[in-house]
Amino acid sequence: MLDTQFLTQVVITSILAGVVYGSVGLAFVTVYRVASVINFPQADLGLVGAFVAISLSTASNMMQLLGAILASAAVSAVMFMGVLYPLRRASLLVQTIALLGGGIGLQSLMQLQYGTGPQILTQFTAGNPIMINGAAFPLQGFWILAWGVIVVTGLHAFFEWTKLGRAVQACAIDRYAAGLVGIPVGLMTFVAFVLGGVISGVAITVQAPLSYVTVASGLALSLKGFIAAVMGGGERIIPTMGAGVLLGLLEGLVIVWLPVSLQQIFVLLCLLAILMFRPTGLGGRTAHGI
Amino acid sequence: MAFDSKPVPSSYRGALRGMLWLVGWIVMMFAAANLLGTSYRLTIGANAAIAVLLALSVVIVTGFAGQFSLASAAFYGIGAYGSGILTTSYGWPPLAAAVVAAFTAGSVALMVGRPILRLSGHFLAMGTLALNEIFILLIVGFPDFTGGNDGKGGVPSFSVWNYDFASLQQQLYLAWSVVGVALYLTLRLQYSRMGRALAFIRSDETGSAAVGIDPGKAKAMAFTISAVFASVAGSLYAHFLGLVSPEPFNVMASVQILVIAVLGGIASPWGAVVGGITYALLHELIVFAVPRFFGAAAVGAGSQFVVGMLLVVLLIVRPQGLASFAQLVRGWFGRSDSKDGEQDLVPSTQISLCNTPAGTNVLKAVDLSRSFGGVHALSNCNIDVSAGEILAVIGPNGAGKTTLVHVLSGALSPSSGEISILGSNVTRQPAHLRAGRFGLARSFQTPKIVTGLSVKSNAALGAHRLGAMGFFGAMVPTRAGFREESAIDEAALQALRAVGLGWAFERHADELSLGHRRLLEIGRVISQKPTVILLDEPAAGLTRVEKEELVKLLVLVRKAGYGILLVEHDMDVIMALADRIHVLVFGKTIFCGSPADARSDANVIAAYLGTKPKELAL
Repeated sequence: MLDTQFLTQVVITSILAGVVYGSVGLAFVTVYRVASVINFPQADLGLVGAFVAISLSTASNMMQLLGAILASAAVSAVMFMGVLYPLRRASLLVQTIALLGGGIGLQSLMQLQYGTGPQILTQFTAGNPIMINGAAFPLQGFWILAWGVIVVTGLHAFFEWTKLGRAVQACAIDRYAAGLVGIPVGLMTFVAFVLGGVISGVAITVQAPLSYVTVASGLALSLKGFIAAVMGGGERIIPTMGAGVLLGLLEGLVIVWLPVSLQQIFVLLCLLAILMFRPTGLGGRTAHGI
Repeated sequence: MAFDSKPVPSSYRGALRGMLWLVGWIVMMFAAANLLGTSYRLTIGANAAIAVLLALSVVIVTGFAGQFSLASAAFYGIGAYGSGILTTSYGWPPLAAAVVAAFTAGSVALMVGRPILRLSGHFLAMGTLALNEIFILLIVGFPDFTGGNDGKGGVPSFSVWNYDFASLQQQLYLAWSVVGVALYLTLRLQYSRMGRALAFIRSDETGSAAVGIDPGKAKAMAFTISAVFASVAGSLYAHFLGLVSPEPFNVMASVQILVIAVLGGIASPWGAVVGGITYALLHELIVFAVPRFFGAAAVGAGSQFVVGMLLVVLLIVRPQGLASFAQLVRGWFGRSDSKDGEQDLVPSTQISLCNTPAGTNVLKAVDLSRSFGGVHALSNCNIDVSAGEILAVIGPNGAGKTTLVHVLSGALSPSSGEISILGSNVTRQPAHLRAGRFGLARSFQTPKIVTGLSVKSNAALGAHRLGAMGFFGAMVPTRAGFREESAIDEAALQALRAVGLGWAFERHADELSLGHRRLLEIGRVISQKPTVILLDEPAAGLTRVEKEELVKLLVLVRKAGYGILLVEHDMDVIMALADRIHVLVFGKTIFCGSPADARSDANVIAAYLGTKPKELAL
């Protein structure tokens, strides 16, 4: 009954979207593992990169990507210095509310600069898509996959294999004790925050040629990245990417059976279900009270 | 469980104060409406009222109960859409529509509240944010019913029977009357039995369950009341504007509502009034000023930018909100909030006597075990406590003493074994029922004191299980409510005097030293009128003098007839108090008997001095 060409197309599109969700999820994980906060406007920080890349329309693709990296890094740094650093001793509740406020500020600035309409980036690699089973795999997809692989291997290697990677995680577990043994806690959280911005920034930028980006799309993307992070256990690298891809597939395949209007509701119900079944919080670590 | 019914004079005073309050509010409202005059200002006035209502809804759920919800705009939307759809599509009278909408919002909150409020911190924020998104998607997804993205127009003005609130002035009266009622209810809630319960939940859920509060239920109820407030605000909004559309109820709106509450001070009902009015004025200022900086097309994004930045700056500069300026001003005039009563070093009041006859078994545990993964923190432990005796549980660090207290009180569930209180099996009962229904009272190694409350309110938390007033009883003034509240007050004061803290009853609990906090916690335990008391290292960290006072106090508590299980390290305290001693080593019982025998028992000596005799198989 199901058309295999249609199904293949859905799977291709879903996997590519899923890798982006997984990357945003990994941005959450990076910040959480070091700073122990959930950076709500994670995807908004990334969107800045994508919009800067779009505005550099005359530059080469590499320059666009570089612009995206610099922009999302810079805006993450500003967000950190302006919001999180002054509130470093405040409660988690206050930090979270403040990050939300910062995210709203950022989103409205983007709206003032770029408007509300959908925008698109030109493909990085020109050429016809590869046909699989009658369905098209766009060449841009390779960029998305490549970034997914880079993020996963890079973070995995950093957190699991390097001494610094192990050291920075101490910051999240006990800031005070980490400071006592000589880890520069402030600097580390700053670096993690900026790194998170860059991870989501590049992910959204390389996806921008395939789907339109709008200023308001940050919230949905943040939510999906967060779902991937929670599904992946909140701390682990490879499962988070896996969960992102799974979420993408789930979201894509649901259209086959459900009307489009219910697709997003389904995704959000998934989030609620996942949260309910993990009542103790990310990775089984005791939930932080407020 | 109920209090003796004796007439309490303060009930009339309380009722009188409520009446005066209402009259004063109405007079002020009319004066304000006449002073405002122009329609522009009246509109701001009505908008401010809606903002105040929304802020109050956040104050209850986030300020009082400490639950960070980002779904307030959804409940606001249920009110607006409920009123809008029912009056336009079905021709319902506005009052009936508003009531049904509020009922719907409350029911949804009650159903969703229990599971979703199990989450905490970020997860609750994300979960409620998802709820709000689902609401918007449903609104947009069923355009036949809701008008979709275009919304629904032609909502009539609010009317009750034949009286129509058509003019701006009438709308202002209506809105501010509703605010007056909501503010009154919220203020009453704050200083009631349930208000204290919410404060304890905010500060520590395990602690709140230990005095018999059901955190899950209380949080869901706070969420429900908050939803009803937001829904009423939504109904007013729909009738004032005559139009409902999805945008004012999205996630962004939830954050804006949060800003209003943070602006005034998130845990302060009067702060909500200040915040709501300030926000309405600020909004006009933004609408006036933003186009000059960003251009006329940018009002929406520009005002959003200002709101977001305002939130950040406010949290950094003044997280307590504008309401805290009132305290600042009071401070300038040199009036301190707390005054001490007379210093009574010796406990001046008798401890209220235990109901259980001395010698009755009050707590029994059979074959109790608890393991964490492969670690057997407690294995096959048998405990027996009788009324009027102190059973001391001792053992080296890591012996499983605190685990025992947690398992007995229900903070942890046992891997196997049975626990009974006064003969009733409570093994399957949650902590709040063991405390509330069966009368188990406990203290914690680090005293769980609610620092935001006064010393007296902390002691009154112990008497929580003796009262019966729920949220409704707390908010709506009744004779029974006043009587119960003053009886709880009295029980709290008596308990404070009994532990020698009577002089400090009006102080903020965070001003107390560790020693005084311990005493306060024991006072709270006493005011629970418990069946059995578990004390987890009450002497830890105390000075020698404080320890001596503690011993004197516990002797009195035993004399009053209470059965006590005392976990302690300090040998002087134990030898001064214990009737029997139970020694745990690595979760296993190695001795149970009189203090004199314990001193000469080879196994006990070995456990404490570190040698390992052959007969002790660990």
